[in-house]
Amino acid sequence: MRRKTFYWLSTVALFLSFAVFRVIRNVPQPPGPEMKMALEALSEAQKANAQLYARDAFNQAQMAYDSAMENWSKENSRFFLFRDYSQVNNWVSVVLEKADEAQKLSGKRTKSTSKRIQEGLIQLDKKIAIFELYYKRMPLPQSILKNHNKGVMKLSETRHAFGNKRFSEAEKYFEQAWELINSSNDKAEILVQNWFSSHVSWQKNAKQAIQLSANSKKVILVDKFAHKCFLYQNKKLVKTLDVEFGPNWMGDKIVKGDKATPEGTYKITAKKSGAQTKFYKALLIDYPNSEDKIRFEKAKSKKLIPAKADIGGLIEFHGMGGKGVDWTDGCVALMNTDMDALFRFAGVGTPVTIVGSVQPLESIIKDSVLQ
Amino acid sequence: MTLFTALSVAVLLSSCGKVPQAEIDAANAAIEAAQTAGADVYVAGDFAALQDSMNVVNQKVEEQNGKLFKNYKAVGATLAAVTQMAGEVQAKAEAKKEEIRNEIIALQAEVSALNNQNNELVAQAPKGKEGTAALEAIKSDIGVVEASMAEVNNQLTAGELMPALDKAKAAKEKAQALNTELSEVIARYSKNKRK
Repeated sequence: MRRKTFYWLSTVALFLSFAVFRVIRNVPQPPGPEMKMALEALSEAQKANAQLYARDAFNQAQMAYDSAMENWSKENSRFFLFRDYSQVNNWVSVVLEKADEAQKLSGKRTKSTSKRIQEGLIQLDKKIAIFELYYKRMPLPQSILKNHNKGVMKLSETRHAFGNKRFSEAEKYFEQAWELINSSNDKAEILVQNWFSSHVSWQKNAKQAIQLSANSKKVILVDKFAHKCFLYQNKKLVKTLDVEFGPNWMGDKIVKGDKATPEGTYKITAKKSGAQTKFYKALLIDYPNSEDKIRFEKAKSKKLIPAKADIGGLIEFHGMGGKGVDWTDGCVALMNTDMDALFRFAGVGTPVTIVGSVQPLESIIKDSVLQ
Repeated sequence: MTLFTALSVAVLLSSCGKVPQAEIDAANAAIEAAQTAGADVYVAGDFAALQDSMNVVNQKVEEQNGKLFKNYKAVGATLAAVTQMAGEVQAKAEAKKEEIRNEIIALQAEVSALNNQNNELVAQAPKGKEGTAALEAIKSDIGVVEASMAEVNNQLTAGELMPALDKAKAAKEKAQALNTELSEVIARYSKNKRK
């Protein structure tokens, strides 16, 4: 009887052990390795700055990870036989997918932002060079100069942030620099374009001046935009000299005190040196000529200038130049050594043609960009 | 004797089987303090690593939560390491901030000196029509640099150190360029005046 009971108990125990073994074998496995993978994926996305450049996808991955953790915790609070980690694993799949998407997107965006900024820096550098070369010397409104300077400094900030790989800030600074530099260049360009509307007549005058130098005659041609004085003889350029004008050189002279240099065809009327001039040496021209007087009277009748306005005079080529700025009252200033050369070249009666620019604006800007 | 052994095991099991909530809270507080100190901005890599470590701890806690016989001993040790790491990251962030702050202050002094020097050069520059024309644009440039440095000061006060540093560096470059330009104008003027 006891043996029978023993066999019976042994069978039950064996059966129970088998049952327990089966149950334990079917207990759901905790999602430790999967969660570890999810965390690694999230970490990789973060290293790729996805939180900045692929915010949406990264936030979705982050939220999915939080949901997975929450779900894991919820399942852990249940009796171990009733746990179900399938929801956790679903969230892990979302984390892996979104983190990967965020990482790739961030890499792509970082690369494209970086490329855009690098290319933009080159473009803006060219625009700054054009401004410094041409527009800065022009009598531009203070607001344009200020915006240009602010733009230059913003571009410098862009470079510092970009150098530190803070692409997001670099991009922000770059946008501001782009706006400031382009707007100042555009405004300056509009002013210059308006002035260049007289280019056809300038070119005609310049050609006539060169023609006039045939038969060993001497002619002085002044290009205001280039700040150059060309000396022609026998239709050949014999010398090029740097010149400076009045601060309002961009535009024709209208009245006395406007600090503009006249545009037109003149001739030398007097040569001054020693005590005759305080500017080393000087060559007086016959401003105002008949055309200037007609224009002046027209402006007066149209009430563009005050009725008591004076047309001015005493426009000269003189020395004491080479200051790198336009500082005269409307005269053409040269370095003393250049003034010596001009003084030797010209005599009373030598024709002088002053034009806004010999070259068209398009070719000037194009040449600067190419350089 | 048997009773004593059973009690010891019970105490041991109970001490190892409790979630170390105080330590978790301490670690989270330390991480938050590091973030408040700007670790996520100034030592972003270190801060990300710190966050990763805490996430690993959270996973380990959850792993133990799922076990029948819980043992948080290893978690406790890791938590202590994370808390210490958070303190170090915070200190590193503070040091980095201090370093940047000092760099900005040094730049402020340099730009201020350059601005003073530039204003002196403007005062020395040729007077009359020659000087006025030459210096009008430069005076405007000095104004832009001064305005920019005022912004740097505001950013420094507001704790926006990185933008302040960028701006201060840009202002220094501009002030230096102006200094060179002014010196050239004066030199050119003197040279031509002597002739």
